Parts: sequence; structure tokens; C-alpha cells
Amino acid sequence: MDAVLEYSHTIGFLSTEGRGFNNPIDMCIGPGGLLYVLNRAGPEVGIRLPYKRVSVCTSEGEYIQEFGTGGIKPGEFWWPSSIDYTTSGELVVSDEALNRLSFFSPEGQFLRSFGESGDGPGLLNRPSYVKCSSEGILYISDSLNHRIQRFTLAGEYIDSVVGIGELNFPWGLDLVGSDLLVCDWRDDSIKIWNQETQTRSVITSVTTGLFRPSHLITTNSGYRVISDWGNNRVIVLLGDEPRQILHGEAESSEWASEYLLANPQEAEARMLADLVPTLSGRQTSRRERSASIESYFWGPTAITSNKSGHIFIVDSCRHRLQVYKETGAPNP
Amino acid sequence: MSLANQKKLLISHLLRRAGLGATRCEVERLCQGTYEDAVEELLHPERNPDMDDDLIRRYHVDQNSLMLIESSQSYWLYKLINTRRPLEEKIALFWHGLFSTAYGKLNHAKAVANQINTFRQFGLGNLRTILLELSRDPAMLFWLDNKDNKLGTPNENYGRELLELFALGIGQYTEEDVKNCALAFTGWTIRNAEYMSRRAERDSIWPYGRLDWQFEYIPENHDDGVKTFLGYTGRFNGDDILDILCSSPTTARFISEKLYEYFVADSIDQATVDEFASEFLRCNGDIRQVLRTIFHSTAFKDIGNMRSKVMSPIDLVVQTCRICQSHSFPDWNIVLTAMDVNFMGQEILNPPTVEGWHTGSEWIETGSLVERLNASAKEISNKSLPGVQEIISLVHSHGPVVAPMTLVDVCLEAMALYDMPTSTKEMLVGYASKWGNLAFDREDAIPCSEQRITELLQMIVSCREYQMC
Repeated sequence: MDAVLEYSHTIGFLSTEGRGFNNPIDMCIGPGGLLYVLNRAGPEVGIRLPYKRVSVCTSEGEYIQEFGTGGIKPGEFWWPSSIDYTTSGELVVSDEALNRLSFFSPEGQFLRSFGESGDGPGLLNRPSYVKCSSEGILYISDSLNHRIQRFTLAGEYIDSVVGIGELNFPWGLDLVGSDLLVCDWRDDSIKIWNQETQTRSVITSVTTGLFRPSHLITTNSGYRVISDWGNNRVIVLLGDEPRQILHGEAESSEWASEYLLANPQEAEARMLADLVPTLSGRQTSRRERSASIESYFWGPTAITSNKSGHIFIVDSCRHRLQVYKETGAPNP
Repeated sequence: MSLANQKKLLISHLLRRAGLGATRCEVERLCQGTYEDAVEELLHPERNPDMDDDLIRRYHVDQNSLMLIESSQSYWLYKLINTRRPLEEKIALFWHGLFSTAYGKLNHAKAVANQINTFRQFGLGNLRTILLELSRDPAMLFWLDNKDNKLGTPNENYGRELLELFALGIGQYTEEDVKNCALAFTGWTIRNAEYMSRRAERDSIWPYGRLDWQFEYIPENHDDGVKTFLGYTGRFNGDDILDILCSSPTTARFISEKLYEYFVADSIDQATVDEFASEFLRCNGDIRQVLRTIFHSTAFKDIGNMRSKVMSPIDLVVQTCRICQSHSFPDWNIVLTAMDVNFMGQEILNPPTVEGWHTGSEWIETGSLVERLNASAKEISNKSLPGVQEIISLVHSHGPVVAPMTLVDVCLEAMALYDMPTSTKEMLVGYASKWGNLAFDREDAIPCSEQRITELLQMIVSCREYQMC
């Protein structure tokens, strides 16, 4: 089977401030193709709160700036979960501890927020994901209320497009034409609603082996790329047929290489080390193997693509983005 | 005391010692069967489902990789509070205290968390398997320097502690035994030892976080010469040393004594320990069977041994959280609860030395006592917690007006405290009587009555009896 995606490069490095990421959980493409990477960091103790921030860089890994910090005041983050660039030229960040959506300018200036805790219409309980449609409507994955709610950019509640009983801890979502695709995380499936025809379909774990999927995108060629969080892998589907499975193949990013250059003794020992060791016992499990093999995905939480066909996979436990390139394939 | 109450008392004692604290629901559920049934349920954790921790790892991204000590402590705390396999966790705590391995030297919290997983998996099995897994455990290989134990340049640290602290006890072996034990374990190391050591020394988390360690045996680094150990002679490797140790009556007595101290009483009764040691030898070191013997022993069930041990900080905090039903779903403040345990003097995953924690009455000193009382009182007075709400509802269900005596009885029952001494109970009733009966018959009186219930609960968790097990 021909590869749909080919590894391109890695961006990132573990850093709690400045150039680098700390448990990135989501990202978006902003103005000028800049990458805005949302760092969840944690745990929530005072000294570590500043690690929660948005890092800005280019798609080739040139560091630009960072903004934001941990806290509960307006514009601060506690459990930042998702970021998107809206049709009005703002960045929106969801926070699943504070149950609110915060808006920033592309330069990082806090603008406003909305959101209240609860389970009634328009209230939120752990908003895990936010996506702005091309019509400027916010789709919010309201994870503990097991539903998808819609709001205007001004924060006015519109409706709940998918309700309780249909979803089980939803996480990431995507909008393709009139289709709403939702990662139904605890159901190990992708639920698809056509909002025009009101028809529904589902991609189950039976054909795909999905386990706790966190996010998905549809590429320009029509492939669905899913971060299969629980399996620590990324799966590429055409329709609901698996076409490629990626386990990750990260190399040292430019930032990582510079660290190793500055620390030659550690770099020398690393050169001699076997970084893809043979594993046995518990370490071979889908959950544990990524803890031993550095190049593998470890908790891939989100996927984004840009106009040049790069696919950015947020590798949360390895504090980096693994970047792939679409090889070009038929548009089914 | 009625037979039914005696059974409740015994089962609550079993849950405090062999489990992670007693709650009313658990006691009442187990009282539907026999004491023997309760013991068997605890001894067979596999009969209950393992905790689904995907939710924890989803919402606490830091607990997915366990890179930081606070994250790892919080993760274990979730398991301790929510597990339906309490003895699996309790035995892991036991081995963690005995085979103490600390984050402080390793700079690798997940390595210690992985060791705890090993204790979960093998902790109720055969001692030889446990010691073999321990000897191959990367955290232990690093902690006691066996990764540097090579032919020609032996390092005796692990060999010595295996005999002194883990299997025989001081005075039960010679210096020659230590040397030969160490030689037998030459070549037992971790993969990529140099790179991993350099990272640990520098506390390097770069470029992409920690890497798990793996055991590796390097035959060319092993001393294959003839060795004499505890009177046996041969070309021993580490496995042979474990065979000799596990068939030794001294080991049987040593482990039995440790189990006695942990599960039965602080002061040793030698005759009872000897009985446990005999059972240990008879069943070839099967820990599950030895524990079965312990839980059915007269010493364990002796009323004099009930509430005779000071609860460890982790046991105290977990018991309170289980009663309050705190942290039953991922919430960010689990890390604060984990820090409470640290402030009480027990940093899980980071014991102070290879000897572990000094337990018993040494848990109590001025600072730690204040911490124990404050943390327990804060939790039990949080009316937003489901367990506290249940207790309030239970009191409320006793009618529109509740007398102080009834209030105390209901609260003690709700907290599975069936053996409160009369003097303590009188003190509690005296306290509850200060403001007369509780009223639920008027809307405006309810908040005040609920407040008085939580104040009484605070008094109860501050009692000596609550802090003992």
C-alpha cells in the first residue's frame, strides 16, 4: 500500500519557557501560516503555572514568541485544551477547568472571554475542543456534558447539535462541507453528522482498531487523518478503510540539535545509545512502548494541516510536533 | 456487642489493615458474606476490574507521561482512592516501604512508578519472583548502583542491601556472603547505562522528556567464578542467590516479621511470627497464602491489636478521600492532596533512605500532627463532596429533629467507626450537645444544622481513634 503521508521534520523541544513546548495539546495555523501551539503543562502548582502558554513559530521551526500564563484571571489558563483561529482574525482558546473560551489577538493580547459552568443549554462542563466554522460559528466539544454546542463568536448560545446519549466524552472535531465529524473518545469511534441531510454515520473500531481517538482532520485529497490517542499512533483512512498507520519517526528537531551541540558529553552518550531498544513484557503494550522509544508518538492529541500540505501532529508527551507531508493522492 | 456488630467490627478492621480504609458501603457489602469471603475477595484482586485510568491520562496530560514527581504521586493517589482492588495497592505500598527506591537519586519518577506496577503485578505472588523482578527492576538497579556492578569492578551496594534490608536482616550473613552475593549479580544492569546515567546525573529531561529504562544482562560483565554463599558453593548467578535466600528459614522469618509489623501490630510477638514463617516455608514463599494465614490468625483478630497502629499519612489521606468520595473523577486539585501527604511526612515514590520510612508512632510529631488534623478536617467538612453529602442526608433521614446522641451515632456509623471508646463518644456527644438538637423542620435551620454536622465530622477525624488503624 502506497504511503499517503511521508515524514518531513520535527519541530519542538521540551522547554517550560521561551523556545520550546511543555505538553502541547493543540495547535492552529494563524495569520501568515504561523503555528500557534497551546501548552497544557501541569500539574497545577504555583511554580509550574507559567509553563501554560501559547508558543508561536513558523512551520519550519523558527521561534517567534510566546504569550499567556497559568492562572484563573481573565486571559489566563488553567486546563487549556484547544486553540483555533477564527474567521474574525482572533485566536480562541478553550479551557476545560475554567469552562470558558478566551479570545486573543494574533499578537497575544487578551480580548474577552465567555463561558459558564453547568449542564443546561449554553453552559459548559470541560470544553475539550473548539473549532470555528467558515461561517464564524464556534463548535464546542462539551466533553462532560457529552454534546457538541454551537455559539456565535460573541459568545451567544445557538444550539446543541448533538446531544446526550449520542456521545461519550467527545474530544476533537472537524467540519468538512456540511459534515460534522466528532471523535467520540470513550466510544472508540468517529461519529459523522451531515447537517444538511440530517443523516448519520459512524466509523467504528472494528475496521480501524481505534482506541480513544482524540482528533481528526480531512486532507485536501480527502483522506481522514486521526490521532489514535489510546494506541499512541496516527491512522489514515480513506472513507472508513485504513490506508496507513503511523507510529512516529521523529528525529532531533533544530532546537533539540542545538541543545545537544551545547551539551557534547550528553550528545556523545546519546550517539552510542540504542534509542530503539527491543522491549519485553509490559513495555511492549500500546500504552507503554512510546515511553521507551523516543521517535514514537506518545499521546498524540491533535492534528492540523496547512495550505502547503504539511500535516502537524501534536505529540503531547514528547513536547513536539511531528510534521508529515501529503504525498499527493487521488481525491476520492 | 451483637454478632452482627462484631462482624462489622472485624471486617472494618480487615479493610483498614488489608485495604485502604473502611467505608460504610464497603463494610455493609462485605458483611453480606462471611469474613472468609471478605478475605478471599481482598486476596484475589483480579476478581474485580482494574481501574480505567484513560480519563486520568486524558485530563491530566502530565500524568500520561509521569515525568514529574508530583504528577506520579498524584497518579498513584488516584489509584489508591478509586481502586476496587485495595490489597493490590496495599501490598504495593508494603513492598515500596520495604524495598524503598527513591526519586531523589534517580531523577526519574516514572521509573519508580514502573517499579510500583511491578509490585502490583507480582506483589501477592511468590517471594522468589518478587525478588527476581526487583533485582531486574531498572529503578532498583540504578538506586543501589548495580548498573555499575561488573566483573573486575564489583559494586556491593545492592548485594549488601538485599541481605541486610530485603531478605535476611543484619547479623544473618558474613562479609564474604555480601561480596559473593554482589559478584553473582555482576552484569545485571540497565540498557544504555551510560546515556541514562548521564541524563540522571544532570537531571536532563531533554530533548523530549524521560525515556523508560530497561533491564539488560551482559554476560561478559558477569563474574562466572565459583562463589560460596550462606554455606553453598557453586558458579552462582543472581537467580541462584535468590533460590538460596528464598529457601532459608531466616528469610521466612524476616519477611514474616515485616508482614506482621505492617499488617498486625508494631511490637512483634515472636511465637506468632514463627507460625507465619512456618507457613511461608510450607507454601514456598507464596505471599498470598502467608497473608491468608495472617488475616485468619488470632493475633490479627485480637481486639487488643485493633486501632493499635498509627495510620501512615497515605493511609489516612486515602481513607478520608474514600469516605468523602473525593477525586473520584479527574480534578486538578489532586496534586494538592498529594502534597498534603508529603507535608505529613510521607513522600510516596520518594522515601527518605533505602530503609524506607520510620513508621508507627514516629509518624506523629508536632508538625505532622497538625497537618494530619488540618487536612482531614478540611476534607471532611467540604459539603460539596458526595460522601459528605451522603452523611448529611443520612443524619437528615433520622427525622425533622435529631438529638445529639443520635447525631454522633449516625456519623460514627457512616464513617465505619464501630468501636469508638465510651470516653471518646461521651466527649463527642458533649460537643454535639452544646447547641441542642439539630433541626431540619425549618428551611432556615437547615444550613446551620448541616454546618453542625460537618463540625462534628471535623471533631471525629481529629480523634485519636480515627488516626489509628
